[in-house]
Amino acid sequence: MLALVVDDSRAMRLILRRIMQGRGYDVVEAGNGQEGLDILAGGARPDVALVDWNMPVMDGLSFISACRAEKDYRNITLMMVTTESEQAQIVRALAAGAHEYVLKPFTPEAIVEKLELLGLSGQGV
Amino acid sequence: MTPSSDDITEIAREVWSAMLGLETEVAATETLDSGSLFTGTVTITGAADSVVSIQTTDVGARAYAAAMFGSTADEVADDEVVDAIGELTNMVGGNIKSLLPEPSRLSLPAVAQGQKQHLYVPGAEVLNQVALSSEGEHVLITVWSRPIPENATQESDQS
Repeated sequence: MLALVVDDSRAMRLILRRIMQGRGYDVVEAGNGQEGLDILAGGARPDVALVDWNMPVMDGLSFISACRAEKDYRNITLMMVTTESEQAQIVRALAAGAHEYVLKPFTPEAIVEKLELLGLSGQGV
Repeated sequence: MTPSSDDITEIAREVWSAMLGLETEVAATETLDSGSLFTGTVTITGAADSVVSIQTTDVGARAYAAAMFGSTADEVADDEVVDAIGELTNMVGGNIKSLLPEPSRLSLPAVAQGQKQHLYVPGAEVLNQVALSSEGEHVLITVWSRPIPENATQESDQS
């Protein structure tokens, strides 16, 4: 299984990488939404993308909207992982196509719990 | 809505605990005397006009970065320290934003490093400040706020 982690913080990408690898995922990383789209355009088809909202170049909401507009990407499960907690913004992200929403700070258990809800919990290694 | 000292302390405790695996304690200090400091800031604009800063010593910043990157303070690179302080500021600022008037928008973080820094926010007053200690190093979290004109256009679009 493959996960795409899209976050402008290297530390956050590393933390999410470790969580996902612990569930048996291979992981590819992008520093912003445009880099994420470039990875998808290169042929990668992750099972799940964990996406920050507030990033330079292209934010997470634009990335999610772009994914939902491209039929080849519609099987990718999209999980927003962000500090953005305004109810209106959460609704906006879900309306754009995010399947799940996780607030920072999070524990590894919170991410795994969301993956289980999505049927993507992996193998646990 | 004004973030209380307890609110800010609890937000920082959750961030340090969940993301760094470190404990925090309330400290009794208003300034950081160490020569070299790291300061992370984010701005909140819209229905609120605020700045949130996190300031800590060079030793503290390296300890927190090492915890985030899973390395040691000796091994952590300067750009990793900047990245970690930026992300800690983003998380603390983003959670403080949830206690301020909505809708509002959180900026990307900025991080400064240097000797004996003083951060000034023109036109703003300090809404609250808490001092914490983690791994034996102090962390100052400050929330500034400017008054919002009654006829101001409120922008909430995150894009």
